[in-house]
Amino acid sequence: MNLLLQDPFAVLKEFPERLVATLRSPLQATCVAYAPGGEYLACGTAQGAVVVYARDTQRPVQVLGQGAGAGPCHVRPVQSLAWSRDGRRLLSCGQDGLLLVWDLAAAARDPGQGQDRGPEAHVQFDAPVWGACWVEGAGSDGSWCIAASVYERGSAVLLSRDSEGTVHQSPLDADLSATEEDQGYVLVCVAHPVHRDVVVTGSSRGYINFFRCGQRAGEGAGAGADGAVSLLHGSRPTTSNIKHIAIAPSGERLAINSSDRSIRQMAITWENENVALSLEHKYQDVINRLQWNDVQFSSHGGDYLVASPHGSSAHDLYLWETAGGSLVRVLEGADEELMGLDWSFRAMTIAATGLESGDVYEWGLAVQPKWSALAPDFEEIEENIDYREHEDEFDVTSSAQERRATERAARREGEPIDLVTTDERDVRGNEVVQGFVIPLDYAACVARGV
Amino acid sequence: MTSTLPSWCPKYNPLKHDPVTNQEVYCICKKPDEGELMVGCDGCDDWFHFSCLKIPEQYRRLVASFYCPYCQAGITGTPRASDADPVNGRKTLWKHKCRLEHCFMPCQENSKYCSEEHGVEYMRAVVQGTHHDEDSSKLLRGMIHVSEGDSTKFTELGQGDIHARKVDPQLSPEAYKNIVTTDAGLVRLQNDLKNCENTTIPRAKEQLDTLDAYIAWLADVNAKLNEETGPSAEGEQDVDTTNEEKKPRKRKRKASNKRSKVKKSICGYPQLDMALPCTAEEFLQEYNAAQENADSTQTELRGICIKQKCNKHNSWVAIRSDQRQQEVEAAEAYRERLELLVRIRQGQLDQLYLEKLNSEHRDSVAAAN
Repeated sequence: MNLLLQDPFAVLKEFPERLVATLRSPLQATCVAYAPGGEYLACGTAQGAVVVYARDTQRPVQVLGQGAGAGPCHVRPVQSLAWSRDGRRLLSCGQDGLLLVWDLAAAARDPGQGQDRGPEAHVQFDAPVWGACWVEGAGSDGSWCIAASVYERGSAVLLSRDSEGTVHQSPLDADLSATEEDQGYVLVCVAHPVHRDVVVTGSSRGYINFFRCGQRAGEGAGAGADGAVSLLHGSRPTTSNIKHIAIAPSGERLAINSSDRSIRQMAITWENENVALSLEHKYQDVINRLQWNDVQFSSHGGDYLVASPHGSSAHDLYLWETAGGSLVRVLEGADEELMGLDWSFRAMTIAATGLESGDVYEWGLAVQPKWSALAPDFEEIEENIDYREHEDEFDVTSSAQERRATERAARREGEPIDLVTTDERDVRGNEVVQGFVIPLDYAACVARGV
Repeated sequence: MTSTLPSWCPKYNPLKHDPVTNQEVYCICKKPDEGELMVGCDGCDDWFHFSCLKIPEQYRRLVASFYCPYCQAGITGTPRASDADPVNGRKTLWKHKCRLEHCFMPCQENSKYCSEEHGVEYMRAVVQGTHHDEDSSKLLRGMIHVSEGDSTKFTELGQGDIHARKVDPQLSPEAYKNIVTTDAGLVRLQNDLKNCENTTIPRAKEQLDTLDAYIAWLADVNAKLNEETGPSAEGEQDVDTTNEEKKPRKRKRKASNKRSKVKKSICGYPQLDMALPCTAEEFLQEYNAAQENADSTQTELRGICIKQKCNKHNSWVAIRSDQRQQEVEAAEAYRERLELLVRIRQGQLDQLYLEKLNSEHRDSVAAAN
């Protein structure tokens, strides 16, 4: 981890501070999602294509959809995106009712062939898809399971693909006894980051439900498609639409963005199979009474919360510290209203899409190289100095103490150094995920001069 | 700096104006312009005398791009972003000169001659044997070989475009088969192309047609629905209907009269496929019956959404047509790309084939000698 070699003060920063990049493209981005490893940034666009940028170079490495070749693609704006946990698959939901699963390992164009590969799977709904999440990561046999929320449906839809590649559809709460009260339509569904078979749904009447769709991982998605789904928790924290649910990576904190202009931050406590929610804070713009467009937690336990306010006069992102609920930072720099946002914990950047231009703004840490931080007597000089070493400058003096030191160093040299095993956590304490590297057709890239 | 100044070239002098006369000065000689033939450098935009650079004046029309000795040595000239290699990319390039010895005009495109007349002149010289050198006799032999002694073929030589000319597989059917016909890449591309033309595109077009037919049918249904609720309101007295039927109809009409300008139409989203369920008239009958029986709570008839104002399937017609249209376009773009790839591959293989023929011919000539 070269992060270790950087300025320790930059590594210790807990949130991005200033606008570091703006990604402009003729395709207008409507939503963004960072890959789990933070190497890529996927942008869903108003034109229907999904563009995957390499975060370091800020160049697109892949444009999914609308190419020459087989397979359906979005013809209306992309509503939401979700990466699978291994970073290999990307899920895109469109306002045209299409839900597409892209296998990035296969999406690169076959060299010498004229065809762009289409999506790995597609599901056509009769109405726009609000969003979707991966319930369990893709299995090795190509099976996976997705929960999706579709316009005007009372239940989230569970899609599972078996090893043969057939996609099964079923309502999430099919085998639960019908709930007494009308909960409205499901607008959001989010997978729990720790209990990965738990789906949290939010409805248009303010109900929030935790479902466990267990046993699917072990027995394969096809066999378990009609496996039991159990309700872990159900409550009604608000009476208006739940627009977003964000869960901190540790799984202990949850934020609900609802259309009553407030973000509710709740603590999640698990007791066996019972989940309890307790309200910690409520964030509101007390002056302008604005709604919030999107909300996202920071890494680990979600020590910070970032949200984009609605309205053409608001061009900033607000960042709160969740323990005390106080506003700690306003992320400025964009000159338009910001819509979707995502926070990359590994790269410590926040990306947000602009409403009007469709540009993607990225806030990060701008680190000034401070070499003197490495050694206290280090001195930066204006010009090179021709240094002449003294005759005895590097002679070995053999005081007893120094001899012992060299002996110790020699002993240490004999020890085998492990250069292969990767650390389990990076320098910021995030779990190191083996990032998926999207295969590139280098010849085509060179030809295009990228 | 890879290249250096030639020995005859003086050191770079940034002088632009004569310090005494204040005239503009050019070239390596730093003299004012006196009407002598000059060439402009593409690197530094200075002008240079042909004579100073020791370029014969007859080459005046053959300069394709010119860089002065200073630019070539990397002393002057701003590197441009488009240059792959800022210094080594700067090289004076020449156009091909006409094949006729005494002509210094540049060649025409796809030709070895500046003009047709010079081509004829050269060939005449070759055929008449007045032009004696190694090249021309070889050329003559080659032409006679290719035309196989046939005088019409001989006269037709060189008529067509060299690049578009087809190679003749008959010259060596064995080699042609080995190199061109059985090439795995070409075969695969041709199969893909065939597949695309015969399956993918027709299927996409068929789907588009099905959708268009369905939309037309739906428009028909909606038009008839409007007719029925519109003029039939006046014609109601003529139609002898029972009282049970009349009541719900009247209620419906009242509602539509209130919003008299609002056109009545059903959503028409098909849940299953685009197949036409029945004729528009039959569907309307069933629709009216359903409206009367279920009292407007039914939202689906024969798998078709019959809601009048349907948010759920809002603008589904536009979305679906865009999707189908996109599929057709993508398939056609695919075909175009495949065609291009096939053409490129074919060209490469033809080239290989010709090279092979050439080497065979050379070998046989060597063996004969």
